[in-house]
Amino acid sequence: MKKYLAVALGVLSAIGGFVDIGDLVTNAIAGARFGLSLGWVVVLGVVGICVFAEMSGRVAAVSGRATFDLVRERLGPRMGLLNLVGSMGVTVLTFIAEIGGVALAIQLVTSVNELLIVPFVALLVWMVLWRAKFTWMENVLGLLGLALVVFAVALWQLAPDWSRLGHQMAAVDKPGDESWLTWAFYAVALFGAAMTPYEVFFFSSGIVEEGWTVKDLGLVRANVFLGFPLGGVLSLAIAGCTAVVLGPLDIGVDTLGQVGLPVAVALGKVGLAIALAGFVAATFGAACETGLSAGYSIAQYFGWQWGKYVRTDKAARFHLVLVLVTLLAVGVLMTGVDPILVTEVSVVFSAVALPLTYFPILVVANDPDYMGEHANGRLANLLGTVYLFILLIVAVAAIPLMVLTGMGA
Amino acid sequence: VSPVTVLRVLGALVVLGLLSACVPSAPSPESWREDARRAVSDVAGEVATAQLALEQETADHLLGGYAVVVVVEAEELSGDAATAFESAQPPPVEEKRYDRVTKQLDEATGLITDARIAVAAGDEAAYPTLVRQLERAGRRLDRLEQSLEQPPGGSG
Repeated sequence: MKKYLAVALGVLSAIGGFVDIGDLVTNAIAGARFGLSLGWVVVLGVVGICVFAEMSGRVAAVSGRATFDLVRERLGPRMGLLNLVGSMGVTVLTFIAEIGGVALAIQLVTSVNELLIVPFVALLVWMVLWRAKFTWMENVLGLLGLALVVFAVALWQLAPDWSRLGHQMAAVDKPGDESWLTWAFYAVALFGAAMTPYEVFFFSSGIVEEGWTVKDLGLVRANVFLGFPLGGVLSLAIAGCTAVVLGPLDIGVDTLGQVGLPVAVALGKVGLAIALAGFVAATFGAACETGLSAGYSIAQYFGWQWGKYVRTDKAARFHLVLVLVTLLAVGVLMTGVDPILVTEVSVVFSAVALPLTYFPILVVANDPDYMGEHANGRLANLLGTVYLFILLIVAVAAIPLMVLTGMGA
Repeated sequence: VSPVTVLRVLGALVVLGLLSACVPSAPSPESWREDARRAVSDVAGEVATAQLALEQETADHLLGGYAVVVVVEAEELSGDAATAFESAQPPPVEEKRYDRVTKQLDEATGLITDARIAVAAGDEAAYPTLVRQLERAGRRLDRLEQSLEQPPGGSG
């Protein structure tokens, strides 16, 4: 019974933890502008994150070592450094966006300017990273993030024309007043948001932190194959809500406040309160995950002691990285840069860094020296290779599309 | 070619660049119309946001300062869009429409400011009138955006 509860808790946390500021904003923008015509990208991204999260989770459970630890050893310091620089840059950018996202969500309730909230949010995030137990942090914030299910309820309450939404999703098409270039830019951004590298680092490092082994592979797969797809459903619900309420009014999403309006329309004050709780929990949870991922990546690459279960004085350099990254986030956000803009940039650069992150995972998961009988099977290799090809196309297209469309303007 | 000649040519290019930077260059009529449509569309989106926020506030669907934050952000974004457009030099053939576009953008952003003042003051009696005004402004902006798809003379 206890084991089933652990599985259920893990899955629920994975659902709540899947959606972050990048998913919130990008899905809301795409829904308002393109309806559900880019919904297939979310599905493609969710399958991709499942493929690579399962691999990295399996690697961590079998070897007891996390991603960067093995990448450096298996592919050498140069490839490891390239992997580290690419994914660290995106993870730090995402961390900044998440802290800004928490501040924006709190601003919506308090009307206090986000710049005054940012330092307190950053302090709270750092305190959680420093003091809170890993399981508490993962489960409590993941479960609170489940509040975003309110978007699915709101969509149902809005009683949309389901066949029209279904048709939009099935037909690879775009609204007449949008260009194919802009459509492609948002496809790349949605893909980047769904496959954000930190999700895999955090997942695999968490497995090492919690001491999961080969015996827990079922738990790993339940988290991945149930949690992430159901998280993807939340993303689609957000896009559906903005498609139904904001799209017909030609409201382009530029702020977090606009993202919550469809829930207010459908469910009133109570629904909006739940959505706001979901915004805070999802972005705060993701801030903790990205902050930790930044520390994990650097510490694992350089072979330092790392982890929340290790005493602070034993993992001093790991904790120093957490402090420095938090200070950097505060410094960037205090310049007055729009956190929504940081989010949009972070999902695009996430798309650029995807091959750097996922190629080494495919290599390590396929190596019988590390994985023994748990090395990739044919299906995992086929899916991994197909996705690697897609990741390369997305990575190459991301920056030119960003420039050509002026960030999807 | 001696280094002195190279330096002279470079110096001349720098001076030419600085002089040309002093003269505001007008975009092509097509490019101006594209910018104008985008500015009108952006401001129309913010007008619709303010209207929706006011309607939801009237229906008591919003919490605490939610409406204030949403309308303040709509005001800032519409102001930014209008200012960015107005600061660009219009091509001579579009000067008449430039005046019409800037006038309507200013009216729309002014309306959003009125909405912000009413929401911040909790002046609920003003909401219905403001909603109607914002709705009308939105419709006018939609018509203006459509008219900007045509070159001057081809529009209404």
